[in-house]
Amino acid sequence: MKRIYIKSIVLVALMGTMTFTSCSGYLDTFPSDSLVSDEAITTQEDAETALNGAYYTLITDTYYGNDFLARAEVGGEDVQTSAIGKRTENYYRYMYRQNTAPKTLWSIPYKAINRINVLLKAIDSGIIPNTDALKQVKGEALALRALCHFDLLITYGYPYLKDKGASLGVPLVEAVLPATELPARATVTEGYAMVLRDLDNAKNLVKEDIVNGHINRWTVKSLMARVNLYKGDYESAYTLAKDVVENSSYKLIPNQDYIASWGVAFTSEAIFELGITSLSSGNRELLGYVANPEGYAALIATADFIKLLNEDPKDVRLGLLAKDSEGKKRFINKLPGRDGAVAVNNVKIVRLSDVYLIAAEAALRKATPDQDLADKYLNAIIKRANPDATTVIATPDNIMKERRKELVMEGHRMYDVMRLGLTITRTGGDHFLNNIDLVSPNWNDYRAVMPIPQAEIDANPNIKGHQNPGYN
Amino acid sequence: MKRKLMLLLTCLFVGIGLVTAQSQKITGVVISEEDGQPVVGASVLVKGTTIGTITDIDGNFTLSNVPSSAKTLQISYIGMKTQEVGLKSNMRVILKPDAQALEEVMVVAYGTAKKSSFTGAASSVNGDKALKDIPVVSFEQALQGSTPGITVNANSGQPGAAINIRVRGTGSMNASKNPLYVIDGVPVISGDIAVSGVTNDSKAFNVMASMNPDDIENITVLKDAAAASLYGSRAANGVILITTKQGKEGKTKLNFKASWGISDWAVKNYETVNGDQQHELAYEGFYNEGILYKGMNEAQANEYATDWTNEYVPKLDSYSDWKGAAFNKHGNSQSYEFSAQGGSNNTSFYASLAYKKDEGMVKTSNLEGFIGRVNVSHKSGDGKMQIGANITFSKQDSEVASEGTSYSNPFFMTNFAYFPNLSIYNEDGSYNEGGILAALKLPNLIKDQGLDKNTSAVIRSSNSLWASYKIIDGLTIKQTLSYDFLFNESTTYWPINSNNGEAHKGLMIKMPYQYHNLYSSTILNYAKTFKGVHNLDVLLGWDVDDRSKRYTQAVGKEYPHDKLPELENAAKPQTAASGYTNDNLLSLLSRVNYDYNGKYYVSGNFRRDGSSRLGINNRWGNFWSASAAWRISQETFMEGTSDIINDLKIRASYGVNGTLPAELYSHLSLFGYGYNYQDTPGSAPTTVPNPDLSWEKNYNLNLGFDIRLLDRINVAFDYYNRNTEDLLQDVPTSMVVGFGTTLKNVGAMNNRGVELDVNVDIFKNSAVKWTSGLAISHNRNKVTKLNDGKDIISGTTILREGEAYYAWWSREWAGVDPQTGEEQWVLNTKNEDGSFNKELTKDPAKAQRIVVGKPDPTIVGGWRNSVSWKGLELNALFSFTLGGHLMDDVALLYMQTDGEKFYTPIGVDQLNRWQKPGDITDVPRRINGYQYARYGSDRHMQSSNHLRLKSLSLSYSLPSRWMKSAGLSSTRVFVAGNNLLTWAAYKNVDPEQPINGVTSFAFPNTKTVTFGIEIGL
Repeated sequence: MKRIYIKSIVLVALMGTMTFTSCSGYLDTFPSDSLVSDEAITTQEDAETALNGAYYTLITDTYYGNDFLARAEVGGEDVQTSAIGKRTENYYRYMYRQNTAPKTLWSIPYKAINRINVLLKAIDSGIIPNTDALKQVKGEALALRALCHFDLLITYGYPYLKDKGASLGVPLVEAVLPATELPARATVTEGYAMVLRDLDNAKNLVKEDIVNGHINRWTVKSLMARVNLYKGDYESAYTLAKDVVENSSYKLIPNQDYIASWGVAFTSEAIFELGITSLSSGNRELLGYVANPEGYAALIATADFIKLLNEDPKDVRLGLLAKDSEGKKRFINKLPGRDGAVAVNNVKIVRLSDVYLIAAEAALRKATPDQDLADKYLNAIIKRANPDATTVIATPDNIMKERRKELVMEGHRMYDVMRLGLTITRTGGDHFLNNIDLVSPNWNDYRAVMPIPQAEIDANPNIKGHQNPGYN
Repeated sequence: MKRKLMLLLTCLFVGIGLVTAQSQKITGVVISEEDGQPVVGASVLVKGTTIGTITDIDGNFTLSNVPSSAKTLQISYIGMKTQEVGLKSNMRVILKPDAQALEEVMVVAYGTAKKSSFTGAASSVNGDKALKDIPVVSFEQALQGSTPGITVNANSGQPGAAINIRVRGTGSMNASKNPLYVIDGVPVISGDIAVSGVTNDSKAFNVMASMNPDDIENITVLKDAAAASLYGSRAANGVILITTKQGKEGKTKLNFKASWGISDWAVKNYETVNGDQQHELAYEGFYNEGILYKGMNEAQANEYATDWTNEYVPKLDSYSDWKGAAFNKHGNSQSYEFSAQGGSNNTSFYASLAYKKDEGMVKTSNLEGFIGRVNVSHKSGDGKMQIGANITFSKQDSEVASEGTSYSNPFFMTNFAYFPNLSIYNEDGSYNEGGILAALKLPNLIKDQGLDKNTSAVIRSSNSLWASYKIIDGLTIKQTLSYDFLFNESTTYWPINSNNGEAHKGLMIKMPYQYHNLYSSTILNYAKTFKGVHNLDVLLGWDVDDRSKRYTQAVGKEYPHDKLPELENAAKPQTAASGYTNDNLLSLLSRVNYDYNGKYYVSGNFRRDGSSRLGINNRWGNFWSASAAWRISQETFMEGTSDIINDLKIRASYGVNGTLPAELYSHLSLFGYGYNYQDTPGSAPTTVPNPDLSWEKNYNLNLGFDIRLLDRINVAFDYYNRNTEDLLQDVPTSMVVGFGTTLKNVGAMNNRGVELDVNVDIFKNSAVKWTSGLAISHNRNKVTKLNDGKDIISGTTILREGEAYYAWWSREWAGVDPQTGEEQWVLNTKNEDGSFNKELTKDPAKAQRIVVGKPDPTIVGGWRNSVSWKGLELNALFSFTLGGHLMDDVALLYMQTDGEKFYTPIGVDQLNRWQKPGDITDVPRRINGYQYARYGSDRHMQSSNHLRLKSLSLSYSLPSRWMKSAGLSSTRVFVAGNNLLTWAAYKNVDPEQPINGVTSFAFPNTKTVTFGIEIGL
């Protein structure tokens, strides 16, 4: 009897412990909704899924979702914040300082870069068969990494042409960094070099085929054209943009379809559009909702811009002006929403019209100007807006003016002014600030670039002493 | 052959007795002094003879043939002092407990110990004294004031509300601050297990509500390292050991108990002005606005104020009582319990089944359910083997009314939106939804009341089996296996016509959560006395704690109607999610206790824990304690004083225990999904790995003494110093790496304090018995280290080195200028020499913030009393705190905004506003649209000093002779109450606020009165 008792107790004791602990990994538990990073990207499908995660990051409301675009708009002459207290007001008034600057404008592109680098690391490890499909993923990833760095450069670093890129740009991240790393800022020159290097590598990896919402070779070439234009390498910009216009299958949207095209996803001009669908990413902080009178009604056209657009009363783009929340025709309805949701609009990062104008501008600015091509491309845009418009001779000024008319609300104006050393002049009209508060910055103004946010300064001693001048 | 002879001899003697002596018959009853109940099985012997018997189940005995020469009866019973009494007829013998023989035993980590030998700091609460009849659903609330060193703060006054318990102060920032709960030796899930799909939802379900307070025999709070270190990595915040009732040998007792109670707010919360006063104050606000802000003359201002006031805050013949309409007159509760217990030599059992229903102050606030328990134990014939089981099952349904600043929270709306001049109903009897309500887009809550459903249906099945075997003398092995299963189905339903549901055309969120907790403990124990003086007790064990959680969430909206609120009837299914988590802990533990002759005690604990929550580099941690005690009273030099000092022991302990990170996977580098792009799956790295993630460590020193004086006074005193280090903090990283923060062990905190517990038997040996006890503690909490020494400021709270964890960061208010009625603040800008500029300003934007105070009381205490006389018994517990504060954010933001909004209710304090030059008051002049309203300052930091009659119970046991004729063994009637009386320094709110001391729109505490009856068969 005794024996049975003691045996059974020992048995239970053993069962109670050994069965759970015999396997050596008893204390290694893992969540059911995540994988350990080392094992997460091992197939072509995994790589594509990780690439989607990078695209997803770009849509965040403080990046291409809203802030990155809105800043370039309300910081320029053509769009303004509608009233005090509305979203984007601080960008409009150039109010951000080191301790108030939104940290997500800085952190989100780096978050995307980290996600891309994790993907690139997995690809470079060789675990996935190196097919064309994988090359496509790698190329898209490199192009996205370039785009993120470029966006950071033009937000936090002075324009290249101001000092030939000698001033400080942003930290460049080409590998997965440990959490303890404290990267320092590289120069603008180094930044442009890395961006162009990544794009050049991407160009040879991606295909020409159009896949909606994804980067192809034409996208890469267009981005290279834009970067070179900002850099002042007009010869390269010209060559690349011309190549896209003449050799790609993208076509300008005809006049009669122009207004309706804004409510359509992936038009014939969509060289690079971020796809936003209602389920995965439509939310109320996206530019469409922030701008729309049915949403936060924060953005309206300035009186100056309405006057500009009215230069040609038959300009089809006048049809974009719609009633704002006060019933005045000041809302630029480039983001009408889809499926009844005003927040759901694709982000147009590169549109063919933009490439036309890049080519035209570079043609004039390059060492050996190509006036014919500039005329041809500029008039293509002008006459698409009004087929009856008189043909013009292209000048740098009327190309810039056409960029304002054609690309308003797409996040270009402030950068166009800054990259060329011009001055933003905002006067009168519906501006709710007086002339003192309504600043007119150019690239000599400290507010031409954003301050590195406080949280980065606090956490990173290698950046602490290297805030942009004028901010502290 | 020998036996036969003996039998013969016995017969012979009996025969002689019969013939030689005159005999008599003696009857009597034996009663226990302690509880006045009959003593069953006491031995009754005629002194100097072999004549004797044993008392029956009613304590009665009958002795016949007692020789007339016999003079004395000797009555004895285990645990009672043996008594000798003179013979008489119809005797009534009262037995007193024998303190010497039955030395007090206390529950400790992994077992029990003689109280005299315990070298740690622990307090014990007797369930029958502290919890009996107390009408609280959660027994934890009854602990406030009952024992030193522990504070209990409820987050809300709703049934089943979450509770914060602190043992010796707050010892963590980002990990658990609450103690570990161990029920009958099994570490269990504790705290709030409610889940909700709605952000900032107030839903709560305190899982301890699944424990029936009447099942609890004893609660012991382990406080220092010596007491708690055996629980290693989970012991830093103290351990609460709960022991449930076990059956006692003897007659089977059946018990039925029923009680009915009502509840109401414990204090008047935010008393508001009446309609006439509202009108008058609004007028004054408009008038002053006209003069001060709009540059009007007196006539213009009068016209302006009259127009507005008459339009929106009119004087009426009768006013609306929104609070009366929004809340029930009182809450009510009912409870029915049945229990049975008993046992034989080898087997004993305790079983109970209870139904409890608690309805709060609004229709949608209640908790209802069944709780059942069976505890069985069996001993083998040779006494070497014991097996047992503790099994409970409970099913409870809870519904929680919305709290916080939500339009569906009646406590918020009646203080924020609805004032008496606003009518509830239109003249035609329909609900008023126009006027100001429409202008402010506010719903009429009375119409909306009770529409939204926010429920938790919780089923719990706890099964613990144990067996022990005595291998050789002194060496025992014990194995415990427990499976605790908890299922919580959380439902939110917003019907089509409710304010919340309207936008979604009806919305339902279902979140069924399962918790599985498998626990195994194997303990070897060796206890032996050598040479009569060396007492050794060695324990060795290993534990496995295996916890997992499985969850699902599904959301659907757009319903055809409200009749069938189930997800399948929703037109638009929304999100769905599911998953599980695992949390494993392996432990090796040991303890050595040695004492020499009951005089000198030393004890050592060691535990090694490995947890899946930690990084590979720091997965295993060692926890230990060393302690010693000296029982001075046992020394020969103390012999002369033993009548005065019955017992004296000094104790010291030092050791380290820990706290685990709250997050299960924060040490891993993880890759998550759901980062979808264009409706195709997307993934991304989600965490920054920290393979060095480790425990928070708690270094704990305790010095104390226990003394018993004059056989009636017990005093226990403790001094402690707790240094908690390696506290987890989210440390910022460079954002360039792709993340913003990483969890690291960097912070440190200190808690230091003293505890005093005094218990006095004031009347001990008389018909009236009165025991009174005082528990007092003082704790000082200080953050000693933060990442890089940097302050962490969040709203009005600040974490700063050298300040308390819950310190407040705000402006310093300097009262009202008696000449102008304007508010003043202290500038508190820094002078060049580093001192503060104490000049006053009338612009709060210029006043700098400083640390203005903290909630922590200097003294927390309780005064307990137990008085009995015959069948009457009175228990009363008063709790009090001194030197603490509360930050009345509700006053700041809503009730005391000095006229800022004319369309909100006004606190009565506003009647003291400044009106004319020379008025000395602390309420400024009223201005409609007041520009400095809601500027935080210490103006609304108030004393939380209070004394509260925390619990009171009065019961009467009907005389047993009445009962007998009715065929019952006992009947007791009782009345009990909670929070019946409150004396507080600050009147607007309940003095017991959540642990951070900041008032909110959570439902306030209630007071309750319960009547009941208990019948024993």
